[in-house]
Amino acid sequence: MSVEIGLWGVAILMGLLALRLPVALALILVSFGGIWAMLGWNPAMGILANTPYSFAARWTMSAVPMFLLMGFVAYHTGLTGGLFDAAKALLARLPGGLAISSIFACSAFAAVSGSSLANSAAMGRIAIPEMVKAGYRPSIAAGCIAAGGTIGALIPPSILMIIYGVIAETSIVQVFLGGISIGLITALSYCIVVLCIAWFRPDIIPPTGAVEPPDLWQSLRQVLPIVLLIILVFGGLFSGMFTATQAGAVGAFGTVALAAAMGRLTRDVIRRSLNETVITTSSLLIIGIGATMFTRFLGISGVSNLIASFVSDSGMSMMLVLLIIICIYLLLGTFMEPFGAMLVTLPIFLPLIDAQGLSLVWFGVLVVKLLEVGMITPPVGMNVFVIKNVASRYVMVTDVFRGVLPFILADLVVVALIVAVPSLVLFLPELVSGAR
Amino acid sequence: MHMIIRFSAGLCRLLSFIGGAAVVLMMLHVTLDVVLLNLFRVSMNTTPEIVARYYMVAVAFLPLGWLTLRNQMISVELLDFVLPKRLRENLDVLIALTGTLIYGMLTYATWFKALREMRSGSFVELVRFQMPVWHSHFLVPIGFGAATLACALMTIVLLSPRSRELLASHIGEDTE
Amino acid sequence: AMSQNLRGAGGASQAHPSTYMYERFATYLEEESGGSMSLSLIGPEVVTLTQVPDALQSELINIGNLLPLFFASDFPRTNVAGDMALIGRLSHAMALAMTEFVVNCEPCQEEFSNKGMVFLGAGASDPYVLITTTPVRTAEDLQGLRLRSGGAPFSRWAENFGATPVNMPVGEQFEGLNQGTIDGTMSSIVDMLSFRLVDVARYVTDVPLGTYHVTSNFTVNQSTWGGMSEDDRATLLRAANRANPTLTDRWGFQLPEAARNAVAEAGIEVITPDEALLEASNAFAASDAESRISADELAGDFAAMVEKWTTIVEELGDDPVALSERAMEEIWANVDLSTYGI
Ligand code: NA
Ligand code: NA
Repeated sequence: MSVEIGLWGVAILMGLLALRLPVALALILVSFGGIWAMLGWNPAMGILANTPYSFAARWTMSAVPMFLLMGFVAYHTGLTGGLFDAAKALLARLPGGLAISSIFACSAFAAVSGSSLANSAAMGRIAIPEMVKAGYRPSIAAGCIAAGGTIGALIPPSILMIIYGVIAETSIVQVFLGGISIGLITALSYCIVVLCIAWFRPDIIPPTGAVEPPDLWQSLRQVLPIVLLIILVFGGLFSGMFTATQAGAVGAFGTVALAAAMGRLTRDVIRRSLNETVITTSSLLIIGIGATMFTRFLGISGVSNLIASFVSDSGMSMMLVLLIIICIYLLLGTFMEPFGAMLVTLPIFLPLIDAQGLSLVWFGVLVVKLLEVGMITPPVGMNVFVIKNVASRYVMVTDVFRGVLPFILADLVVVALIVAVPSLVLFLPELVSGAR
Repeated sequence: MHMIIRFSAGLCRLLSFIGGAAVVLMMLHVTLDVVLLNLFRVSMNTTPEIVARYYMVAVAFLPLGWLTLRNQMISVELLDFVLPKRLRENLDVLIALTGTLIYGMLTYATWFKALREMRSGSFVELVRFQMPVWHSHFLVPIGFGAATLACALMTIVLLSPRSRELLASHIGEDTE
Repeated sequence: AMSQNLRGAGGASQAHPSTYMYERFATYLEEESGGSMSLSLIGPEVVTLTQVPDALQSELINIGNLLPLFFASDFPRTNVAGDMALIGRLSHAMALAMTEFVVNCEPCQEEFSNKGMVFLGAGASDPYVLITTTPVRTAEDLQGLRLRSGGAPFSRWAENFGATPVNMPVGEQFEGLNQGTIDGTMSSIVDMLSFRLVDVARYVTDVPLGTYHVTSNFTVNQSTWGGMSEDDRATLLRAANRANPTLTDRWGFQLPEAARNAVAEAGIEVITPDEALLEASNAFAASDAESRISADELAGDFAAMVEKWTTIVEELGDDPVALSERAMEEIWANVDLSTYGI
């Protein structure tokens, strides 16, 4: 009976989202109603009273506003623009050069940002207006950055990988190393998508020549500050000066200090950066709170257990089990937030994966990749929402969802590659641990 | 009416401003901790707890009202183009009402939670001493309370075009 | 009796000893009740260890694994036993001493009652050791080291030897060791696996630091408990009493053994420190306990229980079944279930 309520909850959630009830409110409403129906008034009120504080009051969560602040300050002071310019100087002559440049800029920025949201936000501000100006269809410009942002969680530092490592009790550093190659392969796959579109549909992505590439040396000089920041964050991280959680704050401080030294830290920059950091953080955390409540609701209803026993009891082959796990993540990713999705699924899947003798490091990278696909699939795609926030002048949410579609296809190919050739993930971790 | 709008917008803006201050303090506090540790091997043991319980809670909840007034709650505009304008406007009122209800319940629930924490005087045990943390629980109902107020205001505003202009003039500036 | 289904939360992931214990508890409850009582296990995606009190109070769960040290302001008297951590040597003895202490300690019972909870027994870890990135063989080696501390007694131990105790969330040990923000941690050897310290630690120093034993394995919601017949309460208690030593067996013996194997495989050096350090450490533990006892009557009560159960466990061995039978005789047989916890 509870399972029935759980499944109804999922259906009602979909309905409320379609009616444009804000995502956080829909998640909270359904969870509250569902728990009330199953267990009564007190437990339902208990969930409302206890989840918000315990979700937000976490040290590791502080990486979110800090990396966001870093991104916003870097954007408003024009530091990230340099990154984009340098990529343009090298790549703008290619068909779809602007999009390819922005994907590479996303990959570089990934090395200083811990989440794909910050990545999308920072790059979206700069690249989308420029692409639209150069004749790109706005939906594809936005989709390209929403997808490019996901590289931020694949190339370390990555908040999702830290959380996976803790839950799976596996080496975070190894998962980090495994993420590097998949992050780069993802970037490459996105570039191929752009090239294909530019080739076959010049009406969507204009062919080469639409923009004048900036001077290489001049833009490399512009990139210097961001290179300094990457050195600060990565150097500090790997030399043991600070942890991944602290890296956000140090990076933000470094960005502010650098901007001040360059004389670009105006009152207006400070005001805008803080306002955007506060609004983005708050609107993401409230969704995280809703997703946590929803995860607890699904857990109590037994829907989670139903999935687990379905997979483990049927005596299927390893490949089939993996295929089902992948499908479940893709499905959950459509409407769940990654923290919540990991919390519901990992306790079920990790023993299965371990029993099959598969590498938990490899599985971690696979899960993070799948959850990042979920960041751009409708109806709940956090990256897409961020893009909508920073480029509301150009696109509606539906446009962005349409724009990410070809990139999701590329993602599926990359997922297939991860499954078919595990050494793509594992060769770096093995190289490093073998050398030790 | 004008007074109510002015008061609500001012309050929400002030709370959001405090959230911004928390972000700045978080950055400075953590950086200072890192610098002290690396230069003088001095560790401020309280940093993770202060960041988690005060700065994070402030930045998570205090801006909710401001967020609502600026219509920046994230939602899915999947069916936007299908729905006729009239229906959409009616839906907006319904959504604002639902928001008032949900935020109201959250305010109620977290307020009593905060009172319980105050009564037991909850603290965390650090290396050398006990740091009281119950105060920070009150930031939650304050933020949710402001959001309730903002949603209620939005309901009224959606029903009366004149107050819509008034509100716009008080939120003002870059609504991008 | 009427059939009853209870919701129980171990509050932790699959690999955690708490989950092991709750799975056994579910079996024992069915056996003891002849199938009329059952337990639905609620996973950590619904309730984590830090959320157990809230979940119990809101009746989201009926039974949960509560760690009073997490909630210092609510359990100041119960936690006096935690301040005595340094005397912990035999895991089962510490667990059963804790159980008997709380059952008979009036202010502790009051604390549970104030939160609407009922205590049905405790468990304990293995004695903590030093897990470091620099070798510690003598007391001098400890000078100036930055050591993560899981609580006040361990901090006092570190300071006594000239080390700096560092407050750090347990999940950050890995990064802290990896990056050198700390030189070591005072932890259970089990953290080698549960927090993957095998990947970053280089030395283990077998100086027994003390145990973690302030647990309330099966904390029952008071209205659930009060709404049961006396027979059902007895049934629930029997199942809990059988399950209690399984936590200690897992946390204090099975997992440490697995961790030691992993340590050997990873080529981490296990150091037996010199006699002088061992002696100084034991001496400090004794004097630290003395100072607690002179400051607080309850600390004396707890120390007496530790002494009693150390003798019993030394004679009886580490068999969970025999220990639970003994606990029933020594502790629970004297408890009046018509009034206990109500
Ligand atoms: Na990254
Ligand atoms: Na999605």
